[in-house]
Amino acid sequence: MKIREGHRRGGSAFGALIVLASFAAAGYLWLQYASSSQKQRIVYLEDLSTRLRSETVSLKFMVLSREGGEIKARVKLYDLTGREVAVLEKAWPGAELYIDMLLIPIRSSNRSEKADSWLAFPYRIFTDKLGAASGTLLFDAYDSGGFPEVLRGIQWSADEKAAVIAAFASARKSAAAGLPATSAAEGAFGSAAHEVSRLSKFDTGIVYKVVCRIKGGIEIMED
Amino acid sequence: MDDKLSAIKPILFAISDAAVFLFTKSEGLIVLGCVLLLAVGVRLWTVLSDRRLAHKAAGERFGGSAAAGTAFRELAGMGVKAAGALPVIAGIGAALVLLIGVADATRAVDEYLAGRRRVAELTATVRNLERRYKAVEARIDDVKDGRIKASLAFFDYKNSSTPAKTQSIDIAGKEIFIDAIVCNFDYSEIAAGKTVNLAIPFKVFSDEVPEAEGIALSIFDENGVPLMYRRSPDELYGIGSDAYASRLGELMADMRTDEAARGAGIVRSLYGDAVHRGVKKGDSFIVWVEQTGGLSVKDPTSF
Repeated sequence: MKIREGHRRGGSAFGALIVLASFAAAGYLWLQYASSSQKQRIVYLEDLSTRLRSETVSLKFMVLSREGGEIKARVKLYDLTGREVAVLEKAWPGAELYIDMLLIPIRSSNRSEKADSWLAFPYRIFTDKLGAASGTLLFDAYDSGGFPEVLRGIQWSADEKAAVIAAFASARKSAAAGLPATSAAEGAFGSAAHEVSRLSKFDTGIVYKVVCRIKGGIEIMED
Repeated sequence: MDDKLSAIKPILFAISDAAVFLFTKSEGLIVLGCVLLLAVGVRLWTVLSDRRLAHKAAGERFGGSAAAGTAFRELAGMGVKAAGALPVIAGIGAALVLLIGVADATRAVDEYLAGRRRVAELTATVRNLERRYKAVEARIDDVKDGRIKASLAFFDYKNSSTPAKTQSIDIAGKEIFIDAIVCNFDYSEIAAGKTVNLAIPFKVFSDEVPEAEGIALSIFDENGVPLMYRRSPDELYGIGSDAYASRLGELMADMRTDEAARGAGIVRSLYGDAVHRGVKKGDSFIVWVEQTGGLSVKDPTSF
């Protein structure tokens, strides 16, 4: 009788141990799964955070002199790898230099339903005294057989390349006809970053870069 | 409770790490083997010394075969004792396995909790960077005879539904430029949600009318503070209205002096930005202040 009771007690303890071990195993597996998902989420968020801060620089400039109501500057254009594509040196009448960029919306991948990124084209240079329509157009400086040289340096798919060429051709055509290049594509706009005399002027001899942000913003920063 | 757990954790992890090292790593097994061999050697040496002394006292010779026999007996005795202690050894082994499991689980839970905090931080960072604020809403009322008539509404970043000020403009051209002073703060400030990039629209010009001859926007109050950044006392939380006005004044003073702004270590870039679009009657667009930097222009319905 006592032996049977002992067996029963031992059996129930063993059963409890099995249940406990099952719970522990289930908890461990859940924790593994949750940790794995969490790591993927962290990688995604870190990547997104980095991309949101990323910048491309297709134009740098340096004011050479300010004399006789004119600003003389040297402008250099770069492709996406940082290779110099073109150099322009010119004087413009005025006191504040405007570096105009054309922003055209694109879909960053085939999975994107809507345009979610921007192509940035150096557009023209004008001043506070020289109207934008009379400014210096920059499109020809980086045209390479219809492809904008400033966007070379990454692997474009055939479709993407065709879209870039079409957008660039449309912008050039509009600008050549004296129309706003912003009419090249739906949603396109221009962004003319410039110095503000009341705040501070571009120092002569200092290189400034025009930074294009992933969400379409343009910034001017010291290089 | 947390304090007690924190105090126990290092001990738990130390025992677990030591057990894992000794029983699963080759270096640990070598160390363990060496210790065991040393213990056995010491034991044998003690036994043999005692036996030699006993033989010497009895005037007998303690030869090599006697020593080997003694050593073999001692080793056999050790083996028998070890076999007898097997349940205890198995119990200690099971306890160590359990302890290692608990330590690993504790570590995994700690890592998971740290991961949750990291996800929360990154989510807030991304949310702050992805944020944008409406600065200007432009509606093109008419484009006729080479002139643009438009209505502009200027918004406070705190209130995107009601404009802080509106202004109608009439200017020659086919492309309207809305010029603003843009202040992009350091990413660390933006990502932490401590501040937002600012844009202060100050002029409208066109492709045909240069900036110097453009239309000034009167959005500053008598103290030089943009109207859209003014706050009524009941809108301020945690800062007095005088202190707020004073801080705003300091910020504007900093913004007026580039060097001061950079010296304050909070401003990434400060410049003018004239965003523009070719327009036709009925068009409307919104100028946004992007927290990733700069301004963008979008249709009211676009992304």
